Amino acid sequence: MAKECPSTLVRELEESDEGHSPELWRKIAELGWLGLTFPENYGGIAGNSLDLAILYDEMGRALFPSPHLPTVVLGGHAILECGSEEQKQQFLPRIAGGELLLSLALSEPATRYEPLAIATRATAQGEDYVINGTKLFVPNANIADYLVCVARTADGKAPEEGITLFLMDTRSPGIACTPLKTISEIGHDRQCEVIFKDVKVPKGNILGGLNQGWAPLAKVLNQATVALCAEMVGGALAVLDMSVEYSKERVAFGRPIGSFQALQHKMANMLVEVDGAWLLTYQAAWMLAEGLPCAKQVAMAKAWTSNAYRRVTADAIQIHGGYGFCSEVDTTLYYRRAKAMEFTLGDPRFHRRIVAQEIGL
Amino acid sequence: MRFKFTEEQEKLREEIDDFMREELQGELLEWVEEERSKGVLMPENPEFTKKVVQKGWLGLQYSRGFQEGSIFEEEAGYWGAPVAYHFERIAGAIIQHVGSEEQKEHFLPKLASGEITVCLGYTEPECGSDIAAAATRAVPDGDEYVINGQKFYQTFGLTANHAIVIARTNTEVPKHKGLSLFLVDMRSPGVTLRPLPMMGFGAETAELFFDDVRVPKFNLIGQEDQGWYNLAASLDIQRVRIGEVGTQRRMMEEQVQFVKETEVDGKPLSEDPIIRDMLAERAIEVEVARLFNYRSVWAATKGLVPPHYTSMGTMYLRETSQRIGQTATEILGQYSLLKAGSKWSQLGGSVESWYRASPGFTLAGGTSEIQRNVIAMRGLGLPR
Repeated sequence: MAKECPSTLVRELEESDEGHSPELWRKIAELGWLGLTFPENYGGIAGNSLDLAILYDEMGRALFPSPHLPTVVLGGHAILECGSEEQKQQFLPRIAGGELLLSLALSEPATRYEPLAIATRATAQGEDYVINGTKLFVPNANIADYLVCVARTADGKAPEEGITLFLMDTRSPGIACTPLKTISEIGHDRQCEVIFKDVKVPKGNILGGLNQGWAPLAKVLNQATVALCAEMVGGALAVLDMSVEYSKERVAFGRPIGSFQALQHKMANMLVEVDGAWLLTYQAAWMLAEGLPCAKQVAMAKAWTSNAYRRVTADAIQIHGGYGFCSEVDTTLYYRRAKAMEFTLGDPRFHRRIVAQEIGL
Repeated sequence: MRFKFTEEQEKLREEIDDFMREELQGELLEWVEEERSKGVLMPENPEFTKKVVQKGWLGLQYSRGFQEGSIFEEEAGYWGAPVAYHFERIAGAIIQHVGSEEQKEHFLPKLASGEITVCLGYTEPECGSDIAAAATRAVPDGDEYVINGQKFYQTFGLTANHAIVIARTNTEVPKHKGLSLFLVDMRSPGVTLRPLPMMGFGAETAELFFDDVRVPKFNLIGQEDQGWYNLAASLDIQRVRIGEVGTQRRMMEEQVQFVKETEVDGKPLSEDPIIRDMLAERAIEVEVARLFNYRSVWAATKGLVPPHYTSMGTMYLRETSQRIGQTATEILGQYSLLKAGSKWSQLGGSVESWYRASPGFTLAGGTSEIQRNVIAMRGLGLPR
């Protein structure tokens, strides 16, 4: 990361249309990072959630701009979780090899990560399903070869009944993808609006069972949420390190500013935020790796870590003073990212709602 | 990486939990609650203590290790067990750390049997956070030291039969280099206690006066003049607060139960989204406080304990306890003002006493400011 991904490259790619570097993507494919969590017979190296967390921790630290999250964790794991053997053979090795980019078309203008909020409709028509609806905040959809589209195929008693996952070729007629201008467009922070108008998807492209899509998707979202938390942890650690180093060197009133208690206590608080995020995130990753139920721990991790990352990046700018506010200084990249990630895969309030349920309320 | 206990440890926890559930009911429970409502921080019941000692649980840190000892403390904290364990564990840790073999053989069994109970004699009227400024003097005289001075804010000062006292044995050297630690029998001639009532919890808090108190040289813990360094080294272990982790877990359960059972306008409070959000937030903080403190325990058993781990654990746990108190008052509303004993009081008046006690949480055992200094300087390496 340190060698291949200087922040100058991060800035350059954020301005580019693609938002990532195909050359870097090939390199990380060679390193095995795209198949990190896939079984070996699908071109992977059979790592677990902890391995994934470590990778994301480092990617977060380096602001590594890539569509890894939507391609591997959201898209790839959806296939891994509930795809047929044929679908797995067809897609996973190509994802691991860096040949295919994917994304998950889940959230809609209601911007909620819940089954209740899925209004996009899929209707059977001969050998196909016809899909209509609007997806909002779809990461890296502009460069994706396939979307895993979450659509409603029936109205069940409970909102999670009647949700189906479709593997959709983005070259299909009727798809309109518009990248959105947002606070951060680094890597998977790049979001798109995707409108489906009578998009035909063959029935054979259903992932998992008809109307049975939510249960496997929930697992995928857990996995992705923990990866995202790890990415935030890495970023938060990076800005804390930057703040500590800067405050040791910057002199004011004849002393390094890091010797002033006002700043020391601020940085002590930052370490509390970061260490709390680290422990909650790796606890959740460990539980996932062990196959233990961990809905509560994942929600706790995302709620805490989102707030921690945002606060720590804001504090970092305060400690750096006006310098930290300059666009060319990296603190601003982390600050913008933290806000984007706060809302990705559910904001703290959403996750605290889950925590409330999990503690028995 | 592992975030769980061994099967044996889980079995131990279950056994302790079953014991506490069995014992803590009826008259004993009523007595504990009454004592707590009088402001006693940790009521002690001799019969209950005897049973705990028979189980070997007070000595778990010596017989099985710090992790097992911590499991006992968490459960004791959860159940509000009427037994002295906290400062006894600290005294044991200091003796284990710097005591001689003879001292270990002599004192540790007495700590494990409940025969020796302990308060901490660090703070003085003129020295709080800056412990190294202690002015209490200890002068050698034959086989004894003669101690003169005053100590202040001794939690359990009125109930403990021993005190770990830091006193100056050398006035010719810089302040950190002339201090020593003593285990002083509080029943010695020349020890005077005066109750020092606090706003909340701490009916057993005292100030101590030492007038020519003679202490056997055997009770000098660690080398002479090394007291500050020995104390600083063991402060790391002193600041692990697993018992309070258990207490927080209990409080959260009580509040969840309360909002489920309490109806306002025909609807349980648990359906109020603001209350749900507040409690979820506290639950996350409690989890972080638990992780911080068990991280310290884990690190200690690996011989690591970076000093900022325990400072962070204490500071964050204590501030979380204050927020739990505030949240509880918001949930109970005006009823939170009622003390135990009124027919109107909720949750046994515990919210009132907790809230009243809570300013002390970030003072006792090192203020939040001192803990943040430690985190900044020793955890992050920031300059003086």
